Amino acid sequence: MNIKTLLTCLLLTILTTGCGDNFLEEEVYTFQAPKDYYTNENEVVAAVNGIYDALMTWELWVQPAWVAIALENDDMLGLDWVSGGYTGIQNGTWYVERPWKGFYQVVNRANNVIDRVTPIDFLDEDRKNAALGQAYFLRGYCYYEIGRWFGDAPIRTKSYDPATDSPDIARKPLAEVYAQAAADFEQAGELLPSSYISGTYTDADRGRPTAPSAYGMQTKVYMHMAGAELGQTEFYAQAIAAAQKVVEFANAGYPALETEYMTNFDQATQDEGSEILFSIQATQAPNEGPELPGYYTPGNTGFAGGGGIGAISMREDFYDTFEDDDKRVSFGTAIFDEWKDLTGVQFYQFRTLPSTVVGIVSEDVIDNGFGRFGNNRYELMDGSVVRGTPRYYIKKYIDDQSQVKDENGSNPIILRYADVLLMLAEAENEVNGPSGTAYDALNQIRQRAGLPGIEMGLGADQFREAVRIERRHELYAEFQRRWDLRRWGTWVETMNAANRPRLEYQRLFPIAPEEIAANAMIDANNPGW
Amino acid sequence: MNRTKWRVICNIAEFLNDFFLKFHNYAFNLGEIPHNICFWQLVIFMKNLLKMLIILVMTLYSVAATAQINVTGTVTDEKGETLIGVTILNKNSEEGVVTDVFGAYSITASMNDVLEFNYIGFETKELVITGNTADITLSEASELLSEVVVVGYGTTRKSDLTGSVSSVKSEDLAKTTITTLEQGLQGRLAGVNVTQGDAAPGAGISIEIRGTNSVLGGNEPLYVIDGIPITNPAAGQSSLGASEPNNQIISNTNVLATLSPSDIESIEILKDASATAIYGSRGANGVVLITTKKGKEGVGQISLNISQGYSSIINKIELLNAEEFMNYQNEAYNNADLPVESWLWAPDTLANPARPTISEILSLRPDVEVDWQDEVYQTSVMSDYQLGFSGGSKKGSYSVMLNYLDQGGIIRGSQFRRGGLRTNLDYDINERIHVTGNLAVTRSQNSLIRTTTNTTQTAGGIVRSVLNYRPLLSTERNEDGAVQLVDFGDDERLDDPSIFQLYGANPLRYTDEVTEQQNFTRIIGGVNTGIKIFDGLSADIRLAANYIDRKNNTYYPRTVPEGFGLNGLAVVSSNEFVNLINENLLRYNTTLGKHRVEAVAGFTYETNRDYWITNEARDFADDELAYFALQTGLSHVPTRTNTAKWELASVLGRVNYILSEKYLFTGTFRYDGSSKFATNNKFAPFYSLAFAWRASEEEFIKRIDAISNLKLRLSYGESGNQAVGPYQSLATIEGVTTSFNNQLVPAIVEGRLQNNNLRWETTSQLNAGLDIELWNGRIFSTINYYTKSTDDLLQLITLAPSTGFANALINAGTIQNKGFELELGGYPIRKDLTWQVGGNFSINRNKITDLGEVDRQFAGALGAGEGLTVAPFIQQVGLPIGAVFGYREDGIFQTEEEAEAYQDIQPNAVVGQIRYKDTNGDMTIDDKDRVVIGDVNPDYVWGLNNSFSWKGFDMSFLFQGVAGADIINTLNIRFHNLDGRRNIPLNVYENAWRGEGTSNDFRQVNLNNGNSLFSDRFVEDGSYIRLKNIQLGYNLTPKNTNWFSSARLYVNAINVLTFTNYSGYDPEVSAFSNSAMKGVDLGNYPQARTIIFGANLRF
Repeated sequence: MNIKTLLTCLLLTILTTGCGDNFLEEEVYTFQAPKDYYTNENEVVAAVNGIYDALMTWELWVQPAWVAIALENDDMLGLDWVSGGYTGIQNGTWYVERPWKGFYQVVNRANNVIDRVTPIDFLDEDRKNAALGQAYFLRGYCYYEIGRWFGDAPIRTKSYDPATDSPDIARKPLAEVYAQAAADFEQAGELLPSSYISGTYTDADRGRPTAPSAYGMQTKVYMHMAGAELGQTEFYAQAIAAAQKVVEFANAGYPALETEYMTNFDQATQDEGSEILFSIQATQAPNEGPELPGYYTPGNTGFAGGGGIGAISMREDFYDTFEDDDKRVSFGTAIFDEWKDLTGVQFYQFRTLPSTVVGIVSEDVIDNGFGRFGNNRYELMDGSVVRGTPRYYIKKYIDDQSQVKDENGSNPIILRYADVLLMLAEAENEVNGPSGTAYDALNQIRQRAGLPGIEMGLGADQFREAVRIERRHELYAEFQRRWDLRRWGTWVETMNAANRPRLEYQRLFPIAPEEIAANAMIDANNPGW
Repeated sequence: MNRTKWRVICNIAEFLNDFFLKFHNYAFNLGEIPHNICFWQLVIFMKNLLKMLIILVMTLYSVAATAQINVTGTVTDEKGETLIGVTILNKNSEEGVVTDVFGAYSITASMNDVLEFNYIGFETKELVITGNTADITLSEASELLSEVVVVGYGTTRKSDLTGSVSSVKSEDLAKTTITTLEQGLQGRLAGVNVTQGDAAPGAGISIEIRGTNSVLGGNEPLYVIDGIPITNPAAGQSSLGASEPNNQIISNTNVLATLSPSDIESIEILKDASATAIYGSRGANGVVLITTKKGKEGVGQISLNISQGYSSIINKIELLNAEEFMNYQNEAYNNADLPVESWLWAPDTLANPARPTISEILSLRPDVEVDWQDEVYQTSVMSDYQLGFSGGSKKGSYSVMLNYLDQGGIIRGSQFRRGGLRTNLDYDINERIHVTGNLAVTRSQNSLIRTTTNTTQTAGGIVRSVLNYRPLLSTERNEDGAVQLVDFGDDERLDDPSIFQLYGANPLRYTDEVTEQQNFTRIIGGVNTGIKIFDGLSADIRLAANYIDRKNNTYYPRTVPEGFGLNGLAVVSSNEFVNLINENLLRYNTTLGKHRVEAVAGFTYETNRDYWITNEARDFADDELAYFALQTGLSHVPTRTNTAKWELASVLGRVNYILSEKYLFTGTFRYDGSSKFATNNKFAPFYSLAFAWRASEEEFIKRIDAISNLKLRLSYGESGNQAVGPYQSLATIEGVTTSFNNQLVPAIVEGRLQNNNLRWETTSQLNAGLDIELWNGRIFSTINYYTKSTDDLLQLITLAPSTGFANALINAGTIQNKGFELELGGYPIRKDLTWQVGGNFSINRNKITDLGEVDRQFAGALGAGEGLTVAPFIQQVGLPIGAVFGYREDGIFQTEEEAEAYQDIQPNAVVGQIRYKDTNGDMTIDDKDRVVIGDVNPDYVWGLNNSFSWKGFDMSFLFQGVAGADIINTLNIRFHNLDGRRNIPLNVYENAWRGEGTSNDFRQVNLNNGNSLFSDRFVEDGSYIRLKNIQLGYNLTPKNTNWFSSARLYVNAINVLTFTNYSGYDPEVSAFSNSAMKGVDLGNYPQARTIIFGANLRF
């Protein structure tokens, strides 16, 4: 090899390794660029679906969104390690600090879809409306949650662009936050199909919100605005109007109360029903389901993915407030009466202990001042030993098909038609007193529960009390009680009366510390946190 | 080599192993040591390998020995001392030998052959054979000047250097037994701060040269092995890697742990811009040049190093025992005014048929007590074997090195194994072309133990768990009324799920049942063709490749929270990384009278490709097969894959101009193009200029006898940092799934914000230095002063969550580092007894001078939950990176009145609780009362090394110290919470507030205690002085030089003594690789005290 050849080689090496057309341009493999996206219907649908993706995460409904409020009521009894435990102190815990991030992530994704889908022209009107309607609905849902969780809060209605938008934004008064939610639901109501057999929706779309879902949620927002948080009682009238829209849809066939109360909670069929207006979609796939069933079913049982923990059950004093024969707490269908754990040990609820019990072997139930825990051993006539517990385990969250804790198919329900009817009754009473509409709405619920209707003739105060009791009985363990008590302004006193002391500051949850660190317009957390 | 020799070696080896084991057992009074190494098997394996290699080497390099005369002689220095290990080469026959410990040699030669005598630090001499004996005296070279040092893209004489370069030679590394090369650097070099943040075997060590330059771009230097820049795919801010929700893969094996220290000939650390600018956009953090051992011209050498070490934990933390713990828990319930029936332990006063009382438990079941520290920490064994063959002739040399390391961890279940082969060959193909080839293959297997990384679970890392887990087993009353232990062999949660939920799995479940395995295969190889074009001009064409295959296998059984609800969780991920490099360099050297020029110019290109795949399966029938059979899991998370590619193309050049051997000038230039940066900023220029004056060459100084060298240096230049992951400037659309009506559907989300202006960080550095050597090397010193400024800081700024994004990557801000470094060494005694001292001292001051638009921001949170959801590292103009921000405490409320009086300011003021200072005086305690309460940067660091040798003995010891660095001790967040939920240290328990005047340090024990605010309580002084290393060696004098040429036996102790006030296990701790979050103790793998016995044999 002479020098000439070597130099040629050298030169060739230099030339061939560089200077291509896209020299030093990045080759992308694993993701796409947003500028190339939103070019066909499938991509629009995928982008809309992406908003929902942020609901079932470890920021929101896999755990924190319900764990933080699971024991924030006078209905449920929990073990000391759940949520704030006996003392209710949740300062510094991860699950109260994450939902702020989760809700705003949904807001931004919804904004993004609204910004990008609004200008496109290749979609037909119905499909575009359905896409935008869902985005408005989900944004409205999050502002409604943000408002009741955190109070005053920033409002963004455009997707965040660092080139033009400041990351700093001040908190807007709670009234504006709720108003934004109500406006979004108004938009969504106009854009969304009215049921799963109308517009572009098919059965495969079950789980997406409909027009009645939007007006139902709007009713809820107005109820909050009219309640103790803001005291804008003029919004009761708006709530009635919105609820009436839902009732009109119901008169046309959808939505409707299920014949059987518990149908709403069967994870396999709840999506097919007509009563649930909005729920967080869960399915039996990794990270696609909440951990709810594990917490609410008896310990060491197969009623939940990953096994039951037996952490949360119904309080005995709450159970005792139900009328006899109320189907909503009937043993066997709504409350666990007897079951076997995974090792084959037979358990009974105290009220369902068999008549063949001949004696008690050991008394291991302890009342620790917060409720009765543990189980006693009883001997049966045939000589076998069974266990009896005072705990009322409910059947609202069960998935015996799932094996894994974050793969439960049980949907956390945000809104049922029953809730809308109860709000209608409540608002009617506030505006017009106990009217026929109010009685009708309330009694539909009672009837379904197998209870006699309330006779006409109550005073407004008495009717208010009746509706409140009915809400508590109808919606127990559905994460409504805390917010209802807030609306009614009785949260702290009710909790204290239930030996679960709460302080005023705990009415609001803390915003994420990251917000205070990074947002120059917010420099302190909610007081007390 | 014959059979008998081998038998002798093997016998010695076995005897030594046996002896050391016994000795250690005796000395430390320990129980059974896990004898997990089949020593004999290894010896046989090594022996076979050796045989094979000998045959290979013999075939390749057989020298036909012609019987001629036998020349013998002795080599001495000018003082008459014999010189050991002098290489003697017969220039005619190309045969070589070395002198023995008496300085004697014997070589076959013909009359009139020329012998060349070579010895490091001495002038080379030649001698013509005239008879059977040939004694010779070598004279010392002015060693420090004639030394050749490696610099970027070349080598240079130390005397010609204008930049700031520190070196460590293999002889120094041999003075301590180390398993990774960074350990060898610790405490030895000024300006180089080496910290082993997590002492797990094979875990990463951080090297920071001259302070923190970057909050995000990474502060690790660039490593260059034998001229090949080694890209570390995990370095810096990287978007790559398996991201598993709730199950992050834990601490990665250190990439450099794949390099055996025994392979290293020298390490050069380039510190200032004059030295680093030639590495352009990768030079800002300094450059570590590693040169591996080459064969030397002369006789072939076989070396065998064997060592065996034993490690144990340095100290235990005194925690509550079973009785104290039960009383502590009851105290917490009592102070929370909870009814006695609800107390966790039945007090003796309570008759409760359901539960045994405390004294019943203790008297009936004394075995209820568990000391988790004793259960989890163990004495571990380390075995290290290195075998090398080297030699060479006029035309070329060879070096073949084998190594095997088996290092147990002091925490059960952790272990690091590494085996490697390295070959370095070079040969003159003809007069013009010289070819160098090297290939290194390493395989390591790391059994990991979760220590700090995952803090969200109840257990949160094994060390935290060991310290916090309740020190007793569960008891219950059986049907006969007797107290019995709940059998931990069974699944505890079945009996008492609330214990599992509250305390997590007990620590042994993590050490024994969770398996985390990381396998690492690394191949680095290259061919360099050197071509002499004409006299003075030569070319180097280099092709090199760096290949990494990394596999992470993890299994969480259902007995720990991570696998509990999932019925077992297996995560298997694998990563393949390929890096190809082409470098084309032209060199030109010429001398014209008083002018001397050395120049290099070149074009380089490299391409990198990284590929990840992660599989996750859950819901296994049982925990038997773990991650070996993912298909048996009933539920599968969608497989995730990720591919990334990036390129770097550069033009570079350097000119050294030397005038009259007195005035030295260096100019360096590099132009880098990187695919990682945004479209608007693809290319970056870097440069440096330097001047040095060798004052000692001036006549007026030459006259001063004492001064043998005096050089002043001055340099200025810019280098960069591009250590961000690829694609960081691009917005992304990422695919995910969601569900409707119980069916999964595809979905997309926008994952990241676009930044078209993202660019490298630029560090400009001014360095002034002085090198001085007195009395021919009796005393030598290097002093440097530098000032650095890093602009366009890469920052992953926290975005307010209300934007919908967690963070964004931008360039904003400036950091300044100023510092002073002193290296001072010498030979106080240089007679029969030699005493060599080397000391170093460095000060660095770091300051943020600009942050762009934001006034202040915070580095990431320490963790999630457990009081760790706090981001204490403030970044603000005027403060250093690493300033700690929090509340100031003001004692404990002693009386009801005191608390009540303060309630307007601190609403939750309660007697017995912590009182905080209203530092801004606005009559309310809130976020605005936080102030700077600490700084994790050291005031100064130093090292002092002493070596003695006397006859056959040598001894060296190394002191090392850090002063003024604070540590965030997160263990105290739980310890000082005093809520009765977890175990705590005895001194905290004893000093808790129990009424007025009882304590002003610790709050009342109370179940209601929430996490206290992040305050100065959690910041501790982490200063320490450590006797890091002592080694005692003896050089064996072979009676019969026939079968081995030299042998050295030594004993080495590491982390012998540590003086510190830090309350955790060890002050050398840092949980995060992110240098913006140094000095955090999250319950890291503690440092061990190690004693090692070893033998080095040469044949």
